[in-house]
Amino acid sequence: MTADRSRRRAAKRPPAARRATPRRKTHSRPDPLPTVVGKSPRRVDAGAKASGTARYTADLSFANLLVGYPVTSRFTHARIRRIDVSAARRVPGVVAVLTAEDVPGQNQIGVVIADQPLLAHDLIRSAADRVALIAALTREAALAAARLVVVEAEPLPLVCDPVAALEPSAPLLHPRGNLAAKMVIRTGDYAKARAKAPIVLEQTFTTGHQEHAYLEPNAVVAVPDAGGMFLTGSMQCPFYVQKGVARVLGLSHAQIRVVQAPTGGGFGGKEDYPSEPAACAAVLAHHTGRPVRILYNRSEDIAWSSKRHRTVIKHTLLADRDGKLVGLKATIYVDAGAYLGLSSVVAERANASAGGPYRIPNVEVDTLTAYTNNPFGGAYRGFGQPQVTFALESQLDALARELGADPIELRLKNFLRQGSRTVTDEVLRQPPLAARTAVEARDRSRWAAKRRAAETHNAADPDRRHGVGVASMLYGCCLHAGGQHLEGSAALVQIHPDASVSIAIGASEIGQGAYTAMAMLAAEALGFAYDQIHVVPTDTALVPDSGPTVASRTTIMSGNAVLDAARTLGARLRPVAAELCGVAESDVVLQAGAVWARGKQAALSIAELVTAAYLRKVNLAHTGWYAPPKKLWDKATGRGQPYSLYCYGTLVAEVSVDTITGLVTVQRVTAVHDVGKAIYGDGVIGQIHGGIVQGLGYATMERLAVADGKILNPTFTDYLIPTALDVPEIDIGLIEEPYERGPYGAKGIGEPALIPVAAAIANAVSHALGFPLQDLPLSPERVKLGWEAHRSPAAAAP
Amino acid sequence: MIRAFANPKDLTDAIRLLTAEPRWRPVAGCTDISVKLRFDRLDADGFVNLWGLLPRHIEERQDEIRIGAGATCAQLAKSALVRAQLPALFEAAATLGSPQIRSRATVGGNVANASPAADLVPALMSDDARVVVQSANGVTTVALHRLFVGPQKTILGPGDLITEIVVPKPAPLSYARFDKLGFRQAQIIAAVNFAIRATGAAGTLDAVRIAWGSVAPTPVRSPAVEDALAGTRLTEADIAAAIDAVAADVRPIDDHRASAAYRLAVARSFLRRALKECQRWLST
Ligand SMILES: Cc1cc2nc3c(=O)[nH]c(=O)nc-3n(C[C@H](O)[C@H](O)[C@H](O)COP(=O)(O)OP(=O)(O)OC[C@H]3O[C@@H](n4cnc5c(N)ncnc54)[C@H](O)[C@@H]3O)c2cc1C
Repeated sequence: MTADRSRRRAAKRPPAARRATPRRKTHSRPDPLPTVVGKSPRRVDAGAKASGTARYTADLSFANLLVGYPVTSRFTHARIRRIDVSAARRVPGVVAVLTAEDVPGQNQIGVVIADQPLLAHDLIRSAADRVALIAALTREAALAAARLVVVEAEPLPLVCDPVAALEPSAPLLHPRGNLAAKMVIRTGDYAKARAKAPIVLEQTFTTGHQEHAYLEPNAVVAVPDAGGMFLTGSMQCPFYVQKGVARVLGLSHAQIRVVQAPTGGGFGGKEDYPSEPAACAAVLAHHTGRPVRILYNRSEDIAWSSKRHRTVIKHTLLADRDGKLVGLKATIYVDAGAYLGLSSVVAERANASAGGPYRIPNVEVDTLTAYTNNPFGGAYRGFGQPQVTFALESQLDALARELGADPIELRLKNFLRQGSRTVTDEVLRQPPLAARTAVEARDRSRWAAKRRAAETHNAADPDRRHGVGVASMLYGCCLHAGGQHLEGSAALVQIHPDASVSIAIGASEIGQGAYTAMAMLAAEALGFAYDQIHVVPTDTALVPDSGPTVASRTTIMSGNAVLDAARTLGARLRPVAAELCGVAESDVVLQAGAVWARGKQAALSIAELVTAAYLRKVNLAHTGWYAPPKKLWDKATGRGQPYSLYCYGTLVAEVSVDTITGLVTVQRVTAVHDVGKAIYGDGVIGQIHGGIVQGLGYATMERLAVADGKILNPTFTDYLIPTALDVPEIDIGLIEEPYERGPYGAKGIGEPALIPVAAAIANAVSHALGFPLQDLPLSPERVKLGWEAHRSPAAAAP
Repeated sequence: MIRAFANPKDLTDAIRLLTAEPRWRPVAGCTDISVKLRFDRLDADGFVNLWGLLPRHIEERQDEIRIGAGATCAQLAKSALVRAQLPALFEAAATLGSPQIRSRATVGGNVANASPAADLVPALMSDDARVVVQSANGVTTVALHRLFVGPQKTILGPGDLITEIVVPKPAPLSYARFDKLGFRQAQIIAAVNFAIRATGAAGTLDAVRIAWGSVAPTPVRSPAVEDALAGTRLTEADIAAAIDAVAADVRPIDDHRASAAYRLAVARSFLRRALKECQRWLST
């Protein structure tokens, strides 16, 4: 079934909440279809956010609150000789200035390996390295003190290129070398395939950093609390913050309680990074015995927080003359910056996704994560996959050009089919839907007619050229096998005596609509009305560690945990209902906010049922749990099952390229995604719109200017993200083929929404200009100078 | 640190305050000032508010078009007079910033701010605009292209206020165009901007005025290109010569927004497109 959800239709919906409870005659039994799931009720957080009453971290007040400020130095790579904070300590209003020796626990942070000092003491490895922490009465006092911190250091040679970083002569950032992590895939016999392949396409691709540009910069408060520490702030992963803070304070996990504050966006940027400011605030709060809040302004946030990884990808694609892919070799250099952070995990996804949704029998992929003195690479929606998708999809278009083939036909010839093996040698159990998404995207976009029209238009050699491009994707949903120990997820569902319900999940609401989806799932599974369900802020003291809010996993993992709890509670309520209605337990159904006995609405209301159960001392709270089955995967060869499930998608982008300026305008995007089941309808559409706009920024205009490891444009004046006028017309097709282990069949959509966007746009630009583009972003400068070189190679040679 | 925000009762009062307090700055729409304030790039102690005091007319008087310094971009972009007579200015004003910015951004502020990237300035320069300056000593008029001495620097002293911009009415038969190189569709600082006004008849160009922004420390006129074009019949060779002359008039720099080579390439392309269009206009 394909739901038609064009932008226009979505926009026509009445803004008012649509009651999830169906208006129906009360005497017939509700049909077994979901009554809440698949609808678009009002978001649970809409009222507070729209009215401005939601209290973000900057809005909170605490008695005796201090301002915390991390002090960086002017160095990017240097050996520290002396740090002098005596003048800073004398600034009026300054309460504490701390250095490495003041950290009570381990002075180390890092979610995978703790290779990063919280406060630098011997070496500075990046422009964002902190040398001291200040607590003061005001931000002005803290800034004045920060300027007086003296750092004497001996500059060391810089490592600014991830390829050069791995050469034997490169200066080392860490004693164990600059190769932070290595992932591989070895399937089939690439060397043999290479020797025989009639078509060998070799290209080198580069991709730039991307800033998350969430609405709310990093913000956290640490409050000393009965020998432990309470923290609240803007974050994606409260359990990461809990562990990071416990380490630097030398306390147990149980002594650290973290409650997520309303969070103004994350996009991966608040996966591991918020543990840094949280650790800083906690150390200051521990030392001063007072609450300490750290609020970054925008420039600080851009300068210090993580970015999408810059990559260099050396790519060889082998094919036969019929356009069948026979081999792939890729060396993927991932620029980690100075510390590992999540880079090895991002590299894992880049590595496993390098073959896309295609059958390629002979594969040799090496993903090398390199330490450099560049900005910190981290999680960003797509997590290494937009980069490899850009490389592979560009290569497929190069092959189509070489063969004179239609790019979609070429893909259709190579997509994974039922029973075929992926590049990691996994036999797919679930139906591979890549071809469905491609055919749907082709037909919806009127691909062939649009391609022809663009070519006819371009034949007259206009200044403004048109192009149409495609990209497809295979997305391994939820965590990679390498991180599967984090996958278990919990949800506490509690029915109060008045039949209102509160739920708490281990995952977080970061604007993506997770709490709304959870409330819908709870309402559906309990049979209660949607507006009876309340979601409480994610709190490490309420629910067991549920891993990170990443990898498009929340609807599936936390959603299944909510269903587990709701079904358990349903099983406790039904006997009471059966007794009160005088029927057998198997004849009782709770659905759509009512009790149904033998197919008829009972005189007993849900509220009366809950009161009765309460009076009978029935336990009306339960913590549900979900963990997917174990995946077998071999790190040494990259073979096995990297993911529990896959999502497919195909995008068609239509662009116009102004050859006078080099500016790319994306005019229309057709996006077809396999989502299993759209739980929260508007949420799914919103994710796809947002992914397209963020991917468009990544493809065309977002350029982090970095020189000698320093960011030159840490402001929204110079780091450009799309405006409303840059947003193309968007047409969305959803393929809803239920996933057997997903709640009501759901898969994930957060990351898939972005992954193929840059690749499709780049292919459209290549179609418009007639030559391949190997570097993201497709900045106007690159496009213009590339075009001039293409037009008159001699004149444009530098 | 800003310590004062004065609301004078009229322009004379404002000039008196600004003359007495040389570290106070006039503010009109505040759209440039607020950015400087945010990034700590403002060397001033106080503000003197001109919003509501500056004239805001846009009108035709004899052979001139007179624009009050307090007129906003939103006003310019709604004016039928500007649209018909000063299409380069119209285009520049209509695409400046965003609707919110356009409703506050004044023409006087855009000029006085002296940004090398100001969008209205090349458009006004290509139309030979003059600036009316009022001070404690009276009213004077200065050619717009003589106003700027460097980035963010003009010949105006404390207490010198721009009250009006005066543009001679263009010849009834003339060609004009404005182009901006901006890296997205709105809210964008120009990496190159360009305006041209050409008059001519019977297949021959008479006078050509060209101005550039973001390719030199101030917005600049383009004398070498103008000379190369004046009196020609705009043949392919004339166009090629004019494009060759661009490098003599502009001095773009490399910075994190764009390289000099790219800015120059776009400047040439802007000129080429305009001259091709002009060629068609001239032959009709
Ligand atoms: C988000 C954003 C987008 C923008 N986009 C653009 C753009 O696309 N193109 C562009 O060119 N500009 C842009 N700007 C800059 C700005 O909006 C314009 O330069 C605007 O015209 C300035 O007018 P104002 O009245 O706001 O000036 P103000 O900020 O009030 O003043 C600017 C300067 O001029 C002085 N001044 C103001 N009026 C007078 C006067 N009458 N006499 C003497 N001195 C005076 C002030 O002392 C100050 O130094 C943008 C600004 C922002 C914040």
